[in-house]
Amino acid sequence: MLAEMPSSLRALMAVALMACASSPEVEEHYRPAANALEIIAVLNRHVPDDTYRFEPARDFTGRNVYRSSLLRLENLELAHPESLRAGHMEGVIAFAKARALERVRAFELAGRQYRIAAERESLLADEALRSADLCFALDALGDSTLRVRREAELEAELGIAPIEVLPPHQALASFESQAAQLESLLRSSEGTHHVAVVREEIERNDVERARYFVQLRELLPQGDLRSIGELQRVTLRHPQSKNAARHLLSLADLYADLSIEYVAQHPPESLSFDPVEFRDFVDSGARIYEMVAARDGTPEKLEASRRLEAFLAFSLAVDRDRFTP
Amino acid sequence: MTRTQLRHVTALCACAAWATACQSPAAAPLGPPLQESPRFAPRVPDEIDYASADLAMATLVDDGPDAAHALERIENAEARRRAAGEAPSGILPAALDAFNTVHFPGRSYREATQRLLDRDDVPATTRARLEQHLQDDPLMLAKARERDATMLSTARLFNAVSVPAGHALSAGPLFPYQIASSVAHYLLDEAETDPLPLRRRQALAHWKEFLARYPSEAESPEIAQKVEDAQKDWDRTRGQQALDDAQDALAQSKAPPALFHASRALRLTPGSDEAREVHDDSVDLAKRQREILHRSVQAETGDSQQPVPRGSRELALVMLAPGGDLEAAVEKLPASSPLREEAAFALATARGQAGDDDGMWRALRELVKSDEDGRMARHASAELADPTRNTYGAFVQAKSHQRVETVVWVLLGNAAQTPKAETTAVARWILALPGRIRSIGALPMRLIQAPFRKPGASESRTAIFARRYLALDPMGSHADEVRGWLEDYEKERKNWLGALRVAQEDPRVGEEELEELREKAAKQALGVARREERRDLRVAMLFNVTREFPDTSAGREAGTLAREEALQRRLHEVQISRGFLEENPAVAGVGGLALDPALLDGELRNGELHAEGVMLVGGRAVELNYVVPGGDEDDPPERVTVAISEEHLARLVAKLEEQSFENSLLDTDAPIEPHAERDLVFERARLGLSDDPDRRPGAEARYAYRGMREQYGMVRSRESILPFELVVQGSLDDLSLGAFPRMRMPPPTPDALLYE
Repeated sequence: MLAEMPSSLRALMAVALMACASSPEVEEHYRPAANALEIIAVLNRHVPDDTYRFEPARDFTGRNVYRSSLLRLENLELAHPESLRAGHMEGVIAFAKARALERVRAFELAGRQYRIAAERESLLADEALRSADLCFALDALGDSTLRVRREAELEAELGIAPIEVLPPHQALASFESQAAQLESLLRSSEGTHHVAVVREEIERNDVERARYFVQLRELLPQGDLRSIGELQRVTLRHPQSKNAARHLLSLADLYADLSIEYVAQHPPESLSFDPVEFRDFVDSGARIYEMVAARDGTPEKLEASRRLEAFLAFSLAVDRDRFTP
Repeated sequence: MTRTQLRHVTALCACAAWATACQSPAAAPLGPPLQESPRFAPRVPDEIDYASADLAMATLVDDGPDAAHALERIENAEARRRAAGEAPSGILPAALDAFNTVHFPGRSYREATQRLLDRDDVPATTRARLEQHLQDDPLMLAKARERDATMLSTARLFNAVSVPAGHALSAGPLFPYQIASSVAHYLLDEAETDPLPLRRRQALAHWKEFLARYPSEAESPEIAQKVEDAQKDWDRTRGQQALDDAQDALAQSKAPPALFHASRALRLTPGSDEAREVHDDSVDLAKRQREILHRSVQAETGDSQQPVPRGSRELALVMLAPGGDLEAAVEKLPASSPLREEAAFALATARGQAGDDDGMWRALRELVKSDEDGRMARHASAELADPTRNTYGAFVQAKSHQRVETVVWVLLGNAAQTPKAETTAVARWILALPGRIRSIGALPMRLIQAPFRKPGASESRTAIFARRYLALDPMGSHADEVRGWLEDYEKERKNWLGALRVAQEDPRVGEEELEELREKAAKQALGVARREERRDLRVAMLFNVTREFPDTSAGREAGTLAREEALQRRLHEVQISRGFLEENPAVAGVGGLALDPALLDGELRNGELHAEGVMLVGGRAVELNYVVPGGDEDDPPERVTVAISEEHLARLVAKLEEQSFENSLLDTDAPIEPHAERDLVFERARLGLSDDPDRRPGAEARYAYRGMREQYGMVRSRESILPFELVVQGSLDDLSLGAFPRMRMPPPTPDALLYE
């Protein structure tokens, strides 16, 4: 069929195909990993990283370095089963995979890989067992409140029991107990890279606790106030976190939601509209958005400035004599 | 001095003494300043009053015949008054307008209003209100926006010729070129103009509103056609914008946004070959990038490939085990080992983990240099390019970029700017080339300006890396250098708080310098606190300044201010200045504030109101500001707070609001200024709730009613009604000077931002 085409058309197609193909330099740069040590060396470079304070590193493709290392190690195992059949690398690879897995919150898998590494390599055994204990502990603690809620939802779906909301005192007790255990793990991890991992879990626990109150704010007495307090607590407890700007954004979003809800419940033209209450919501939200928008060099800056713009655009719909920006 | 001169001097001194003696010192008011609870005699309603009430009633229930009957009664009564030689009551125009609202529904009300405006007995405020109503019509607004659009394109054409013509003298032999260039710029602007530019988009919105409101008017079919045509242009505009965005993203190899915008462009302009082509390119790019990414996480499977070369396990073990001797393991590797690169990378990493960051980055740079295409070189490059970890590298790079930018600007000025890869942008760049080349001649001027250039975007980028470095490694080997730079940067942009924060961590900074910085930082913080509008936050911020900077003068001042704020009892500050009261006697008079006229008569001897006037300070309290007895008008006032009755307060705020509405109708320089907190205070006053004031911090109202003379002076500047202005323009960049008439561009309407 190609032979039937006019030569000019064939030439044109060839040029088009060449243009579509990636350049050899690009292909070379993105070629697959050649051996296990390439992957382990890169991963090992980032094991001590403080991922609580700073964003996880990215590899040459722009992927999260822990995730891409894990993928590469797994692909290596699948692509070369015969070379690895002897099992001499099993302990090393398991240990490396565990290091990557614990950074993507797969604590149970990480713990298991650490156990394999401890069994296979005596040199790594001490560190592997310590790390495995920590990972299993984190897995046992992780998202227990969330788990209870999911189980309740599942039971409701299956018709076993009506869906029940975990009462605040129970949820709080659960979050507090989790926090206490995480703090204890933090103390025992001092001096290791696991400090960052545990701090991330403490932060996640605090965020989850705030989310519980935010999600139930319409059902709980003083729910709005409690939600604001909980989100403020997160921002105050984690000012050093890489997610600090994100926590502020969540708080500003809540204020924005509250002002939108307020307008829906009390139309500005109605007598029930209280300009002072509305202004409190708008001012608080706008101030926090502005604060985040002033943080140079973060993606949250863009997010905050656009959300602020959108939020102020919403306030344009409110009569000027009820709200004067 | 001769005797005659002496006599003259004596006479002059005597005159001066006489003039001074004539200006008597101010005295306290002689009587009560406010006439409390003035009583108005009840008025017996006449036929016009009854008929007006009936007309209002008929209007509210939309009863045409009754409204017509009531209007007839008013007209007859007016005729009787005329026959009796009495002045007209003035109600007739308002009555006619009320009648029109019932009798002429829809757009016919506009014609009736037009007829009403032809009468010569319509009061100015009613006329202004009706004229505003006539202007606030979708068709009128659409016409105005169309007129603006035409005006804008005419002005652009006119200015394209007049501006270079005005520079003819300074341009010299370049004049023909400048004219040609200006016209070419105009043509490029025209080519780049959206099929439906902003003002026509506004017109489209007004036409749509018209159709929604009046679907069956005589003009509706014509307007529907206009909407259809404009809508097509609007789709083309959006399609073009999406295509531009897609091309931009494609040029930057950003596949996801390119695909998104290209799909949108294709949807809006389905037949466009260009959109189809860009869409296909975006799909290809996305596919290629996905393939590359997928491949990059795979393992090589060639025959020659050894996934676990000899020595891998040993090397991996010392890398992963705590305290492993990596150097010894690397030494054991044979020179021909395929793991040499990995070993070099691991050694570099180990240096970094041992605290020798400089050594690590040096080794990684060497790894990249030794073989740019090497396997580990790509990882090393990624590490070096990571601004979160290689913060010092990013800092140095940003600083060097900043230096290069400054040098290029000093040497070439604007000539260094390069165009975007678009036909029109390149054409514009070529057209501006002679001017840019000429601007190179202003190098001495730029050399002088260079040290005074304000920190720009590149400096702020460098500062980000500097802060990040100090956060990551406050005791790092480059901490002193980075801290020094950051401190200078903060000082240069006068952010003393930031400079202090950096300096406090710097052991090289002496106590004296810290003291000076603390003083400046406290002053800056005090300024921020003062600008805060909410009192509760302001007080908190002032206390904070005192706590943070207790030993500075600004800190002490903040303490004093905070105490004053905490002690002061004003809940609100709604000021009515003396100038406003003088210009609006109805507010000052018995129907409003009921102020003693002697306080506004300009005579200091019988007490006089100070320029600050009066202030509603919360509850029923009114603060009166007098010229201090024995002093003059420039002295601070004597403040006296009096309580007025609820009825009096309600009457005052009602009068104040009515007067403001009236002023806004009669004078474009006195528009109604929206102010929610003030309105809330007034609302509570009208409802008789002043004794139960709203004490929430957010309820505090701070507003000032000021007279027009106080705002604009004796003579107000007026905008010329001519569409032209005479401009004298010079530029240091290209050393040009010219004078020319410029056609004014119509300003954007306040709602233009909703169409951008």
